[in-house]
Amino acid sequence: MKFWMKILGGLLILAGLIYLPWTIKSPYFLHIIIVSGIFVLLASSLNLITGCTGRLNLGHAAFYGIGAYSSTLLVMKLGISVWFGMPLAGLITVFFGILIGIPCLKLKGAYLAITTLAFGEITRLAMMNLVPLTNGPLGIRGIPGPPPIIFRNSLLISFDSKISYYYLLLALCLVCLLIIKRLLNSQIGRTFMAIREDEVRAETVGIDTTQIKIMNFALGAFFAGIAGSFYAHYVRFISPDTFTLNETFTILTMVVIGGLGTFYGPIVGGIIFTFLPELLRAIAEYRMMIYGLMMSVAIIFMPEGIIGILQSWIPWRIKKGLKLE
Amino acid sequence: MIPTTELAQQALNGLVMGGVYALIALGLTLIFGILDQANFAHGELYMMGAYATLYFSEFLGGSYSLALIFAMVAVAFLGLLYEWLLFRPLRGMGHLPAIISSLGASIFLWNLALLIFGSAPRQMRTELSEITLTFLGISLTVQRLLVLLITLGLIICLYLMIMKTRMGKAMRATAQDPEVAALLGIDINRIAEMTFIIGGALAAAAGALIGPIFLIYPAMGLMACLKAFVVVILGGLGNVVGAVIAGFALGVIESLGAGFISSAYKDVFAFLVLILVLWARPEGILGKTAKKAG
Amino acid sequence: MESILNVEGLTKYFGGLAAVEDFDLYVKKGEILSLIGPNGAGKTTTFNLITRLELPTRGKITFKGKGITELRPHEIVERGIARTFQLTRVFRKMTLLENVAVAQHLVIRPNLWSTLVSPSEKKREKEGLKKAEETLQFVNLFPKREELAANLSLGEQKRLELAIALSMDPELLLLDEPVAGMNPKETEEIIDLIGIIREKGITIFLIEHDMKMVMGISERIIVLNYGKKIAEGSPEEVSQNPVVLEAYLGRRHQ
Repeated sequence: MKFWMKILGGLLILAGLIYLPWTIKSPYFLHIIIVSGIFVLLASSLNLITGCTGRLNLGHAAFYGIGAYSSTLLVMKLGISVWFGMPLAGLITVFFGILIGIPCLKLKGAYLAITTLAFGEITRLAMMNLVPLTNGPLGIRGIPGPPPIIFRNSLLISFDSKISYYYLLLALCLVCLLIIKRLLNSQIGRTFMAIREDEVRAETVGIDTTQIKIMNFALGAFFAGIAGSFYAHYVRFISPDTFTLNETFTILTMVVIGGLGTFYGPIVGGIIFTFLPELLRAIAEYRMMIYGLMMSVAIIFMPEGIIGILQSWIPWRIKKGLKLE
Repeated sequence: MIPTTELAQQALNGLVMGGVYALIALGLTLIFGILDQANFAHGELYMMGAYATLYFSEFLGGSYSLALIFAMVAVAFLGLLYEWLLFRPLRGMGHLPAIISSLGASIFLWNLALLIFGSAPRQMRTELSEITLTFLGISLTVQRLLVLLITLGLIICLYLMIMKTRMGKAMRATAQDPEVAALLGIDINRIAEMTFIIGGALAAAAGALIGPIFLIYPAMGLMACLKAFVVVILGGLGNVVGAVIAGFALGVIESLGAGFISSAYKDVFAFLVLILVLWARPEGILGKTAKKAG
Repeated sequence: MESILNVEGLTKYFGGLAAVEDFDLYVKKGEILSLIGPNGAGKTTTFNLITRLELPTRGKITFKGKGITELRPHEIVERGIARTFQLTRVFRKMTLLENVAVAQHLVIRPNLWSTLVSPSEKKREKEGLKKAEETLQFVNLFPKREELAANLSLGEQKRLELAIALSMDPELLLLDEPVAGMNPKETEEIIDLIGIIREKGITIFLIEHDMKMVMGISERIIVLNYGKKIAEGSPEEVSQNPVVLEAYLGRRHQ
């Protein structure tokens, strides 16, 4: 009984999402929706590392940036099509994820946080200073969008308008989130949680924590890289200023307030914290302050995040369906 | 051929900076060693100390030393607030929650400072920064000399306090074994408050001392905090002597590196040292086994 | 009967103190062997050394004929040794079902690609979950399977530890004080469970302080004191041994 209810609910939401862009008059509003989608991906990817596996990654914006710069350089300097550039950028980011993950294997807690922060900053400094490659602080302009998709000489999807980007992002999000959901509910997802709870104990139940931790970093890096790649070809301009520590903090706030370690938490957090600054335009200068305050308050008073609060309100029957989420 | 006076000059400047790092790191390492929590908002204590000194000295008609003392007291109280609001509710819940809560506080505080003080860097001028002493071709402003002297003084005071006083003994006992300490009747909440008061005062002193030498700006706490963590990790969590040695060492390494290799990448040296050390020894140079506070 | 576990010259120094010194032991396949001794004798350290949570200073351990001293803890599980912990270490914020299911890691052997792509992997996971439910039923925790492990009482946590250990499909089960802190009724239940486990062919090596239980179910007992083996034999032999009595009771002759 619950199962087809879930399917029906999912289809309704999907239909709503497909219809959505046609109901929106303002291109700016659509832009915000697209940006929220990017952050949903970013928050979900950080959640894999920090929420599920309990390993604080304060350098996550580096993965975001590596994805963006890789895709840009592949397309603009090597002439590869965006459609190949995106997945390749994801793979390049995975490579860096593993590169950073290996020295981080033996680290935990504050050591891990500081080291990942250091890596994040080093990456940003590299973006600023490797001028022949990245054009330094000026950034790279005029990044091409994806080339048009042509079906049998008739149907043409060109990426001139935001609506096409919206559908591309929607497709990306659906695929990525489905993968993440499958992961979280699988045996592998359980090993992530076991490592978070008690890493030594996890070893003693047969989990190769080294392998799983590297896999975990690689996965987080991959989805962040994809988000970065999309960002590059959507906004068509990237600079090191986007991939700062502040950005990582914002993403972390989304995960913490949404619900660390849950599936829907980062989604809710990503959407809320993209729209919130727009609604609070008047107090924009207080934004980071409020985020910081919220993060501290949340971890003390509602460590399970918004999802945790919802789970304690909703009657038990439906809650069973939301378990593991 | 590196001229030795050049070398000595850079090294001396490095020692001055290193003393500041040591002061910040001392508070951090005490919090780690005694309470087993990481304070990511420690840099903001340093930043507040600098601004407090700036404003107190204006308020008190230019007396730098009085302003320093007032700043230490004020920020010690801020440290107390840290303990009450950010750390006590999360005690015993593992490492991650305290990191996140102090991270949030850090973001809150330096953005608050940005709002209140503005982003333009400020200068704290004292008469002592104008006077320069020269000896064997090495020069040192009186201010820098003062930094060294006050730093050493504070370190000695701290050392004596930890080794000789009852409170110090209680703190060491808690660092060794919190459960046994509790059984002996030591109140961990009082210990925690004391630890944060000391940490706040020392960080404030560091900020006050650095103010006249470099510029004061709201985000100055971030990099300082990072470097303090590097120092703490190098010296061993909870190891007071280690923090002092590592602090001075980092200052000298940075100074020599900036002077002879590249000043643009100055901040990177701390990171490189950190990564190299953690690669070789993930527990830090002395590791948690050297948890003694002395 | 062949020995399934062989320990030779096991020694571990912590600083200057020998926790375990020149300890030789063997475990016969299919038997129930108990390790007893006063507090601090080095019993849990022995378990830690066998499961590689600690590295021995000296000594050799072989399991089923192959050396295991150099392996990582998860590889020890792979070879067929599972253990429970004296101070229960369950995954607190995971449900009981998840706790047991995650221990099937080496049985299910998931890999990333097949998890995402292959439907038969999903089927195997479902079967694994079913097996986890059966294991929970075996230790009488099935009704609480969706509860968080943190909410269990001590006795229930010890039973969960047993379930987790069984999930790993072990040939040798190391039980560290399985009934510590339990009332007589709970102790009886555990003893019954151990009996059933033994009948399935699993070798059991356990540490306990509850003498009644130890004398009741062990086929063989080894006594450890200050890290050294001081006696070995059947329950009757050991309970009459003056050296053992002295170790437990201090300087009192019988």
